[in-house]
Amino acid sequence: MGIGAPAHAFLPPVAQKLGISVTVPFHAGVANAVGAITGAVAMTDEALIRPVQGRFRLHSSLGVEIFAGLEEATVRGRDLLAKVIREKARAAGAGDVEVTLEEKEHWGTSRGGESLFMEKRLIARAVGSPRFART
Amino acid sequence: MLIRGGHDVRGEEREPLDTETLREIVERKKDVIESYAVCGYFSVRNPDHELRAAEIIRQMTGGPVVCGHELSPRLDAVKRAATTILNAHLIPVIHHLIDSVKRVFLRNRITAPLMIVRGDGSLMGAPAIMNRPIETILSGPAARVIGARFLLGQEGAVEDAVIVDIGGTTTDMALLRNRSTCTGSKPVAMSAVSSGIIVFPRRREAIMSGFRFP
Repeated sequence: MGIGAPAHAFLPPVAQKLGISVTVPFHAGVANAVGAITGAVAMTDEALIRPVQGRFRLHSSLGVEIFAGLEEATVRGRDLLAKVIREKARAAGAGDVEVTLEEKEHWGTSRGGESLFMEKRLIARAVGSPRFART
Repeated sequence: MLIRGGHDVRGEEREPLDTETLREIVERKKDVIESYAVCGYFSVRNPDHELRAAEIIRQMTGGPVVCGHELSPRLDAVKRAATTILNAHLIPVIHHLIDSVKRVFLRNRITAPLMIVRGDGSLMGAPAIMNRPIETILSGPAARVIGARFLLGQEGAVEDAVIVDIGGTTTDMALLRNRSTCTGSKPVAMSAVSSGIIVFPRRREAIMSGFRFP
């Protein structure tokens, strides 16, 4: 697919030489503006859980909190991120947002062959359309 | 300006924040400074010192203050500091731009919200972007890819495509797979911007962290 003002002139002969199909939409010259008007507000935030001497430390944009269990720390991390990401998205001009949460656990192996918890990363994303209320 | 403070990799305070020196410096310099960048060691593991320093500066000056942990979630204090300082330099520029656009809006009775495109192709309202102008880097190419995806959707059922964006001086390319843009995992070479950008194999290596646009 070609975009940009001169795409009509350059791409069709290239595609023909390569034996592939090319599309140059009528509005290819203003794809930039199309992107700006069809885009969405999208924000991300992260929290990190790491083990420290049998306990778990949750690092987030709000600071550090310590928990006895991984599950506890995870629940708090999820709650905190869900709240923070909604606030961030709202501050960025979003109306209603859809929030998704991704969790990545990292395990290693000790010298004795036991599996060791290294860290857990929580990644929240909020996506929504711009808010059109007049301010 | 350097003052004492900062945390370690675990988020433990390495030494107390020297708020006294901070106040002295701000008092002495505030008349010649337009915007402030606050960067601490391991602030992504514990933002306490950055937040406290920013609050002090805000109370003393009212001026725009942005912290490193607000711009990048990655470790590497030096890069984060460079990003935050570059961002602070851009704040007066974007204020000027947005003020001008708002005046035009007012004159023409446009009441729509003013949204700015970021480097990952997503949008951000003008009030929020005023403190994070660095996120607009490469927003032009990113917006074109989002636009191209929309235009391609109108053309029919194409799922995979290479988008070739031919401009006056550069050609940027993006890969569309299952209607999603593929993103790189490296930060932009010029700075570590917090959110992602779409891959543009350009000479200056504009590849950003792994944000997937919906």
